[in-house]
Amino acid sequence: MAVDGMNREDGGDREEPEFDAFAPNPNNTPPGSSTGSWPAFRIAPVPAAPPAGTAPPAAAEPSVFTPATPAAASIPAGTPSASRPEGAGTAGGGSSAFTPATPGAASTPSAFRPGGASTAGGGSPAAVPGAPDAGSPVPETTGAAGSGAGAADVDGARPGPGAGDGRAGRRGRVAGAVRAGLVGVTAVAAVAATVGVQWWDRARWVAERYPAEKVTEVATGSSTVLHGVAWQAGVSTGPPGAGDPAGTVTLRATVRLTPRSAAAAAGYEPPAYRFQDRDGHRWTALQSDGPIRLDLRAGQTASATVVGSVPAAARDSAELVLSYSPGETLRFAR
Amino acid sequence: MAAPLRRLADAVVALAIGAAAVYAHTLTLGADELDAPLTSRAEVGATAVTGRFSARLGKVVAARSVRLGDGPDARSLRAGEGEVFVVATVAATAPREPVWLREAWLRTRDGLDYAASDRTGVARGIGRPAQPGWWTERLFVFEVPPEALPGAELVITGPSGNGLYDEIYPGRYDQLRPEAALELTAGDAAATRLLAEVKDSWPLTG
Repeated sequence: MAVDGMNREDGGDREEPEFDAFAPNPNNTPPGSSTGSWPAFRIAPVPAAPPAGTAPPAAAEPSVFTPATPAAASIPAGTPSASRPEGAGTAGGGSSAFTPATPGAASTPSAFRPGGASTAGGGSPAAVPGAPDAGSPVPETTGAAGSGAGAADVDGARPGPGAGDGRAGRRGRVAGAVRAGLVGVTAVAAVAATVGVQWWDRARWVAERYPAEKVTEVATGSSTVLHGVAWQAGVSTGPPGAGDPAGTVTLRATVRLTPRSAAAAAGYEPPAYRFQDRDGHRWTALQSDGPIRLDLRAGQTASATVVGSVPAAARDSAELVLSYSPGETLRFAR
Repeated sequence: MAAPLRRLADAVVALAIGAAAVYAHTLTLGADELDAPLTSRAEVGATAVTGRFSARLGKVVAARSVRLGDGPDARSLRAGEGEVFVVATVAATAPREPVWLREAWLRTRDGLDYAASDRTGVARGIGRPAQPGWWTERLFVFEVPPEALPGAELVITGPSGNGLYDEIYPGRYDQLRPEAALELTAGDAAATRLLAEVKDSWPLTG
């Protein structure tokens, strides 16, 4: 309190600095606090240098924000940041514009003026090791002891030598880790999106040219219409062929086809046949005899024979498959 | 001073990453590399397994002439000057669907490819594909100089799966075709023995 009183008294003798609303205010960031309090928005005037050996009054005041650092003890009392007004760079500047004359101002600021020595005595900033340039604003956060780290404590992101600086440092490290994590996640997402778009585009290209086969299953004994023709088929074991490989059997399928219209009969083309089991194994099958287009009449059933060889193990499981295209395929269940 | 240096370092790193990304786009395969097949090799008597078919080499015979047909229509075909016929029996099967193996070469130790001879006409068994469940045999006939045999291998390439695109761009866009390379002779001694036992005439059957 005595410090603040002294500041006000002494400040009245100095010229007021020109107010710059956008200039960083060094008083609004007390250590360990990101907001500060209104009474802290003062520009402390340069106090008169106390007599040598005079202990700064505020040095005796307990303050929860006072960093008890070795640096604080090594700097002579009265040296410090009390000279900040000059450091604000506004020649002849005063403090009235930033000094609310509130009753509380006398008591509150001291809590944010650690060390008390910051306002206890005169002295030149140049006398403080590590002090900021005279032309740049210096936050009064660490007082005389914190003059070397005062600039770093403005944003609270860099660790300082005190307890409050430690909390700020931890917060800064956490913020850095969060930021690095966000950058990493964004990078991974960008790469995944890039690869995904190319994958999707290529998959679409392939799907257009190589469409997946769509098979329609025809129940045993029933028929299905495809291309205007009703198809029905049955499979039996045929006599072995002369050149059949050992371990194989010959399957003979009888296909009955009935055109539903004259147009369907006129547009008839023999389909491709094959034998296939449910595990996906395929064997060739050839039509040995069957109708041609001129043989077909609407509503009249014609017959075709399809022959193929399959392994003996597939004698009862191989089914006839009829196909015009991957999307026009019939499988006759056995 | 640290902040500007750090910004400079960040800029350099960003520039390096960008340059590396641009450079990576130049790392592409050439046309020949894109069209190169996937080759599976097998020693004498072993089976070469590809994704679409498996093949193994059976009997190999060298002959100065081959006999085509049976009975009164049979005719003999003599190899060219300084050349011999090499008749190779290949057995093949397929894991899932029929595969027609129509293309074969005799590849020398130096990388020269001899196409299967077309003088013999349609060889027997050419219309029979390799199918799941059993081994299908067929003959391949080559007409080559004897010095091409040591270290040679028989190369069979699977059919193209490009469909329409093969008609538009024959031989192109035919990537990752399976290929089986079967060792024809185990070594120089085997090649010498094969040539020492060259037949005057050999019937093309099977």
